[in-house]
Amino acid sequence: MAEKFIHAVYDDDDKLLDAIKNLKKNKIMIEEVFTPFPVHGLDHLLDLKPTRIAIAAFIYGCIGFTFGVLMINYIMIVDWPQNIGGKPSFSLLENLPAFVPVMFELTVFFTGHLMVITFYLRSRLWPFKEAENPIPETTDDKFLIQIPIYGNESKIKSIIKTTDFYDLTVIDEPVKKPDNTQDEEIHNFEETKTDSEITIGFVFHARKYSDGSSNLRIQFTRGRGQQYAKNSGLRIYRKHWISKKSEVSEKHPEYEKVNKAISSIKEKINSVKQIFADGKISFEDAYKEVIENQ
Amino acid sequence: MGSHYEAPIRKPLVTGNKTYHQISVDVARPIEGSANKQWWIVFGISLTLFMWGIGCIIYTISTGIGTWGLNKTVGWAWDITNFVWWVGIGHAGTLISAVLLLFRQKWRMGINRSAEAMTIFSVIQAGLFPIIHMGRPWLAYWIVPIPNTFGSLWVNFNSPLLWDVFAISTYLTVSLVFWWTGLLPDFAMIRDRAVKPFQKKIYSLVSFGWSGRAKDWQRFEEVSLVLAGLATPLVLSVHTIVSFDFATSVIPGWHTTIFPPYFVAGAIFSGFAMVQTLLIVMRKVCNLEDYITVQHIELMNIVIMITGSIVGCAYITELFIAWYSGVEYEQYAFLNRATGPYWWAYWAMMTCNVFSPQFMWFKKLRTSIVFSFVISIVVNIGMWFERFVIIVTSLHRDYLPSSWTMFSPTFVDIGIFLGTIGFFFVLFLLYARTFPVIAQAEVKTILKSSGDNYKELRDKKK
Repeated sequence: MAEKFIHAVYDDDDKLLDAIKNLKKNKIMIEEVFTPFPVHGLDHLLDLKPTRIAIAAFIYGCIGFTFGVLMINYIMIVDWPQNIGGKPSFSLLENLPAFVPVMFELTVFFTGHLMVITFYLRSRLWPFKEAENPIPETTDDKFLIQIPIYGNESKIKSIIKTTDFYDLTVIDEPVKKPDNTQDEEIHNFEETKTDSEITIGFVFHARKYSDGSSNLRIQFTRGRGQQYAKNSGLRIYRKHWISKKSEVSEKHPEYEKVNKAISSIKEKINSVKQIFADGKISFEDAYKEVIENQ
Repeated sequence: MGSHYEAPIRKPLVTGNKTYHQISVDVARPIEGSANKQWWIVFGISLTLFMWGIGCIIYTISTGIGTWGLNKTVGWAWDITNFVWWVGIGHAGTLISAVLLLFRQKWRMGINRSAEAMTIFSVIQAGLFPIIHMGRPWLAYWIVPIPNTFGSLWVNFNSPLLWDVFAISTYLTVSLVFWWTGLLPDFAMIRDRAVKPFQKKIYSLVSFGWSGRAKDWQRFEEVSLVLAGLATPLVLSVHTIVSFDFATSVIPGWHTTIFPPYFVAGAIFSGFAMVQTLLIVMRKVCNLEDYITVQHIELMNIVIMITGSIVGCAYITELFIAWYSGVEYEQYAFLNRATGPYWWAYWAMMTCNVFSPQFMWFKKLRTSIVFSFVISIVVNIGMWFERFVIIVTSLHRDYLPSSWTMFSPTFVDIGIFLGTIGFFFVLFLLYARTFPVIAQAEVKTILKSSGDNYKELRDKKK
């Protein structure tokens, strides 16, 4: 299993299908696709084998029917035959019409329940099971392609960038839902991460204000694991945020003013990176150069 | 866009310019918001009725079935009437989600979740009556095939009452897993939106860790399809078997071969009426008018009209066959129904079930929300009377005129019935506040083909 992944996020099912076609054309391996609803044609596009659950269901039905026949035969014919309204109590076949309803119900009972249990086990669904979708929006309106990186990061990125993507993230560790960053989603505009380098990007605080805006935060990351975020002091409507450019679109109220403020933060970020690379400031204090100078 | 084509003649099923995200927001709103005053008032009334019902059940069990209005001639009355009535109501949910799925009817998606919820809650009410009527409900486990405590006697597989046990329990449990499997992606959506930690925990628990992988969806769709294929004969079998309770007996008025299709049509009829009653209120209270549109109401009204007409045909066929059979007991049973001491119940049934749905031939009436609501209540009352007429009028004139009698319910009969209505609404009201009441994942799949904004966009392009 690859250690590094690219998560390409789309906000539309047709864009997702186009992107997958594009990736397939370039022979890029797709590990997993997370979608909020069943996207028609996705399984064919991903070359998923047809599920055999219907075959299993047929077998369960046969088991249920056999169970019904054997049980009724044992109870009504073998163990304790009784004269009920003069019905032929010593022959299953002759008394069959009265037994058909229960045999049918047992067939349905076994098929339905065993098939659903099989589905739950095969898809690993049960109470207390942790959800594994990498970002929570994939159950809402986002579609995520998980692509493993085997030294072809830049190629994958360049392909993704030709598609109409919503967000692109590089995940350094096997996909796990980190508890501490759960309420923040990462929109890095730079993805290199080594111990000597500092990565600074924008994130949104997950809590929204009542008017729909949320705090734009600046996230500082060094290598793996060391990370903190500070409020930039800007309140932004997330729906107008363009993550590719790290700025707001023209629909945002006072977008010129906001973009000006963001670009001044970007300048400070670039300068603080230089200061950090020169060793003049510690990772923990890096934010002071960006935020307190404002 | 090409793959999302739908004939322009079809009316949009999702209105109000929705996006995928907007659907999530709309479905989550009743769960994330807090209950208003009306909800608490209705919940309080339902809970009071439920408590009253529990009181009457306790009184019945501790004192005996003698607290009911039954007598030696009419040994079955409100209990079995209520049982059949509730089972019948419980037929629309699976019909909507299974039969309409097989027929690829997209309009089922706005209403199937609530219809299935209603199914499960009403089958629970139905199940209560036979258990209470046992008199000693702590021995209810004797209906499952285990050897008798006093020897090796078993349950009787020739008996329609035992078929009922298997049919109702299969129906209840299969409907439940069908419902829950469909709920997983929607619970997951609520889970991933949840801000409060407790809410997040609960919805994580009930969503079984649903993540929405491509393979999961492939299996999900296959399982839904196979379950629909199973549930379709199941739903037909359940009410068929319920009708066997009567049809296999030798009582004039019950011993009729027409019973299975007649009961199934009646069940669909009453079930759709109850769905209509509940959803007309819910779409207003939960602001879901964009998902449960007038188009949905109209289509349900058409189903009500058709099944109501089938039921009407069955009533008339019964009368004809009774006359044509030449059996005077049969003839008397039906003459007595229409003109005997219970004539008012018979004509209430006829008016509510046969005449009232005929108004739905008029487009203006079947697209009127107030009128649909009124008719849905009328139909539910009529279907209760249908079962009462079948059961009580066939029994109260016994073979021996010396046994002829009338049935009048006691306050306990009435109390238990009202109690189950209360219990049903308690469950449904709790459901409406905690469950995603629209199958949002499914609705999202039809947004691009049946959403009004996408339809307009396609029309403009041409």
